[in-house]
Amino acid sequence: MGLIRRIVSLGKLAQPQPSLDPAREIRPDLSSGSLVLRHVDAGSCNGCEIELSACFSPIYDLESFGVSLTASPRHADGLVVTGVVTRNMQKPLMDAYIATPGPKAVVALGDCAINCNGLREGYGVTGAVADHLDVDLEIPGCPPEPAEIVAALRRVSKR
Amino acid sequence: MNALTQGDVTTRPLSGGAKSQRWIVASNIATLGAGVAGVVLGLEGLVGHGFAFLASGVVPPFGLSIRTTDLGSFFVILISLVATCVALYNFGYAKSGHLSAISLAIFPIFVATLEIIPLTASIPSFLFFWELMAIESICLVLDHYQRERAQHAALLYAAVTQLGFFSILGFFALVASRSHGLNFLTLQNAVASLSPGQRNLAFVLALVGFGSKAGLVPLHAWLPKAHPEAPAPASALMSTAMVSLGIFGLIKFVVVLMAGGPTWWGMLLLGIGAISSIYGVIESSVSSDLKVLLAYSTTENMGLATLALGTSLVMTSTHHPNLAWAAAVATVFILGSHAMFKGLAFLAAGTVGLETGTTDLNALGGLTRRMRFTSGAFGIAALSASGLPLGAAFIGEWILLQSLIHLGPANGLVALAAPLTIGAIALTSGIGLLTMVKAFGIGFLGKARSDLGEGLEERFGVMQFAMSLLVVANLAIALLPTAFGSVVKRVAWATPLHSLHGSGQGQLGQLTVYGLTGSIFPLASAVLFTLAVLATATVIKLRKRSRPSDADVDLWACGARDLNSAMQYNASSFAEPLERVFADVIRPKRDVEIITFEESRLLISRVELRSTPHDSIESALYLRVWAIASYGGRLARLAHNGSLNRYLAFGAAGLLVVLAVLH
Amino acid sequence: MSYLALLIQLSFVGLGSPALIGMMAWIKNRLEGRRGASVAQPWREIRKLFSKQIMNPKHTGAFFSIGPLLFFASTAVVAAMIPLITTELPLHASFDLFWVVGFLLIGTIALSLAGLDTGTSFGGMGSSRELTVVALLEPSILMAIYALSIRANSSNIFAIANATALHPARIASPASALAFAALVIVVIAEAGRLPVDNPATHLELTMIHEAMVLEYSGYRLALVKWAAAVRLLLLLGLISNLFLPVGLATTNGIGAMAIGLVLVAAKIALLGSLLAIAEVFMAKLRLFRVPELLGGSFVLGLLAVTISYYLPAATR
Ligand code: SF4
Repeated sequence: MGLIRRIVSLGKLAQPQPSLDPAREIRPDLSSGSLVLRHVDAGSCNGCEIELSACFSPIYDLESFGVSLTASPRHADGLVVTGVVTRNMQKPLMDAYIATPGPKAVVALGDCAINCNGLREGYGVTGAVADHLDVDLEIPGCPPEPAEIVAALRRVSKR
Repeated sequence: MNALTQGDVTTRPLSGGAKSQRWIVASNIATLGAGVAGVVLGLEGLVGHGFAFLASGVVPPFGLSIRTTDLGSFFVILISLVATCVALYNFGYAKSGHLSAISLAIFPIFVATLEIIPLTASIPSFLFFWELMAIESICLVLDHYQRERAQHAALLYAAVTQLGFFSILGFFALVASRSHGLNFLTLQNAVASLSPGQRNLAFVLALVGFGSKAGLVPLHAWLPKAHPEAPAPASALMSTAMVSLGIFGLIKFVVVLMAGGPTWWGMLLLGIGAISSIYGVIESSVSSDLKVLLAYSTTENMGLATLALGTSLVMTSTHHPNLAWAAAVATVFILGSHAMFKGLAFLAAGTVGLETGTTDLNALGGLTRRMRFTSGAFGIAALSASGLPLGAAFIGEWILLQSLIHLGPANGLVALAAPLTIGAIALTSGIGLLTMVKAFGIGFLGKARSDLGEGLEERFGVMQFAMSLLVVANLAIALLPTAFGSVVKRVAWATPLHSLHGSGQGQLGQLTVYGLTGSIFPLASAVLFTLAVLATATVIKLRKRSRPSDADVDLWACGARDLNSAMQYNASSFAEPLERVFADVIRPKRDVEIITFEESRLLISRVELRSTPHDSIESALYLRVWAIASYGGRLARLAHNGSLNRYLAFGAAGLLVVLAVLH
Repeated sequence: MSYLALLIQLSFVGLGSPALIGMMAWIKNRLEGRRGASVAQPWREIRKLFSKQIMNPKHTGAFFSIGPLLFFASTAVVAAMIPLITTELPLHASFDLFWVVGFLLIGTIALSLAGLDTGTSFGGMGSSRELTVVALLEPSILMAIYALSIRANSSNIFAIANATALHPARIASPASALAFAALVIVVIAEAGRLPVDNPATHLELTMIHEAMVLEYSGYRLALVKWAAAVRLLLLLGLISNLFLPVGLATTNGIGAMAIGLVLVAAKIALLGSLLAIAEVFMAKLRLFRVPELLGGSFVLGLLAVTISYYLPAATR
């Protein structure tokens, strides 16, 4: 009963999001309105992960824009990569990319993934994501705000 | 479990050369001849005029008395169909030296014996061949007589079969006590004059005697021990033809000869059938040797047949003639389909054992590419056995279910028995499904679990031909059950439950059971299914240009690299959830062994978990009986001290007692 | 004319099933305070998957590639064997419940074998768990069918629906209610919904159905997803027509079929919404607690049967 009362009293938690600007859409070959992503943590501090999971909370509700996460790259339309690419994660990252069926997109999430965020000289770092894969979309920030992530990913999902 | 798996590993070729080749060919031609002759005789008995003759003083001292009945002829056809395929199969199997000379000599005689039993028409003929069958099958189990397991299995089998034989002997002694002749026709009139108590005792004796041959719980333990030891073609014969004769005995002597009995007879059959089927299928689902799995599945199917037979008896005694008839039809279908799919499964398992050297599921896998025909054959057998629509076993189960659900308001125990029976059938077929998926999926699909039989390239030979005959038989039962309508009608008729007209045949192979509402269209559904598959595949093919070209990649496997075959699910892990659910029944033995490095006991090099399911009925019952028997043996030994005087004293005492009693 | 009816039914099932999934997800989302994706989202996903690349993993057998086909085709055949809109379908004498439920299992088995054929631990795990659930589900299914068939003295779907239509008062009988409860649990387990399986899960430890399809991409995945949606719709449609055959047309008139279509869609939507609402309040059961749930369903079915045997005919 308590749950019912809470459901009624809370109503809709989701924050209104700005409408989509068609001019900023990218990757026309992924225009199905459904974008399934496989998340790869290539060596992040987990800050980006926290923001990414916040995107799927009721407040931002990224799923309502047709974006979802999956466990298997076989089911995915692309990768969302966080953190610098470390030596240990380089091969798994490439494996996941190869395992993803085309057409596929690569999203670099956070400054580390985009430009190493000052960690380029680290002994365990092999570079940014763009040094290994063709990146379609960069979401800058350390970490990026959920609203920014939502807005950016909607450019691919086009919803 | 591991030691059990050496079913076909040790090979003992006949001492080579042309002589042994001639021996093999002669034996197989004789077996084939017996099989074909059986088919002809059975057809003559069933659709021809039938025959009867009495040859006095031939093999059994009382003369050989033969008379065809519809029921008997049906069993002859069933047996000889399997026997014919087995004979063909043996041409390939024996060549590899997997059959000893003795087994080769026994095969044709065994087939002939099996075929004669359903036709015998008097007690001495029946008993003679019944015992002959037992001895021959024991010899077949002892094919690898040097193996300790084979000796143990043969001993257990001999003990159970002798117990059964004595029960049957007692049964005949009882029913013949009022008769003037030993002919079955004469007996039939005499059993009516037995007192209810005598009839009940006779029923129980028949149940023990024939139930032990059919492998019903608790007299089932010999099956899973004997089959892995016997060569595969012998297993195929024993597990189809011989166990079916146990059910034949029940039908022939309880239903026909004694013309049924009070409701509790049927209830008892039903109960034993239900327990056997559930227990058999649970044990089957947790076994990890293909042949053991199939052997337990035989107990399951014979349990189902007994259950159907019991249902028909209950329905008769509660005055539901058409339901009784439907249940009888179901019994016939269950027996028929079981013979076909189990024969096929054992032959396929035999080929696997021959080519890879093992039937241990945990060492198999990945056979679809290396043994295409055998995999296909086993797949069909598994589909048939699983009780899915489009499989042969479904037909019998469906008719049985129809018989049960049409019972309508009943009272007393029957009202409770019907739903519980349906529950038992359902649980059996549910777990049976898992068992067959496991047998096929673990044994034949996936990656190879060992390098046994690597680089095999199967070709279509005589063994594959023999299996394909059985494949056709399975598909025929599954898709065109109505084609067997007239035969089944006569056989079920022969179990005189009631007279109603046969299973109707509508358009498009519609199967209905006369007098009951409800029907299925196996053939039409199969065609529809095939069309749906083809249509989907075509649409996908046509749309090929709308997607990027296919890619050959490594398995994803959740990112695991260097995936090896040990990382697959195996036979034990596949059944583990079910094993947990039924832990009270199976009581699996679990051993965890932790092997540490020499340097330190804290560094673990390997952990081994072994979970061995075991037969709890066997350990609970048999071991106790064993203990009592050996105690009795020790007591008896006290009397045998080798002193001549004491023996003379025993003799004198015995004589005195006899004289006293006679006076 | 009956073939036209079949065509309408197949298109309704095919097009409506993703919408059913979408609607249920939307309801759950709204109750969780979310905005919720549009009802058409599952449709977009399936359409997209059909034009994606196919990945053929090395070392997988033939069953891996034909498994989804068999799963889909068996579902399509069942879709032609259940009277949703009208009873006048081709071969309507064959609407036997045992047969239909068995046919659904063919698809389940094909997918389990495909899972084993990958040779990965996840495929095997999903297959093993799925079959454990199926094995224990079977008694409940048959018992529920039995309970339903008593009224009509037949296991034919059409006969059962007819018997209900002739004696509407019997819907409220205790036996009927028990059978309904038993069947609902069966449907939940068969369709892999909460609390037996969570279709949205990506956690290895809790996966049942998902674990078997981890290796699939492109149209193979689309077929599996689509067929799973169709199965849910069929099961809900079956329940609603067995217990409340209101609107089920008995002729092939266009008007009667239109009414039948609208009403069956409404009934399925209602049942689906109730299921979605209930799922908000539920967590997934531990795998080894599932047998208890299924056992409960079996007992409900058994009670339904015995009640209808022992109670006088008027209240049955
Ligand atoms: S971008 Fe910032 S938050 Fe994200 S992984 Fe790098 S350091 Fe952490």
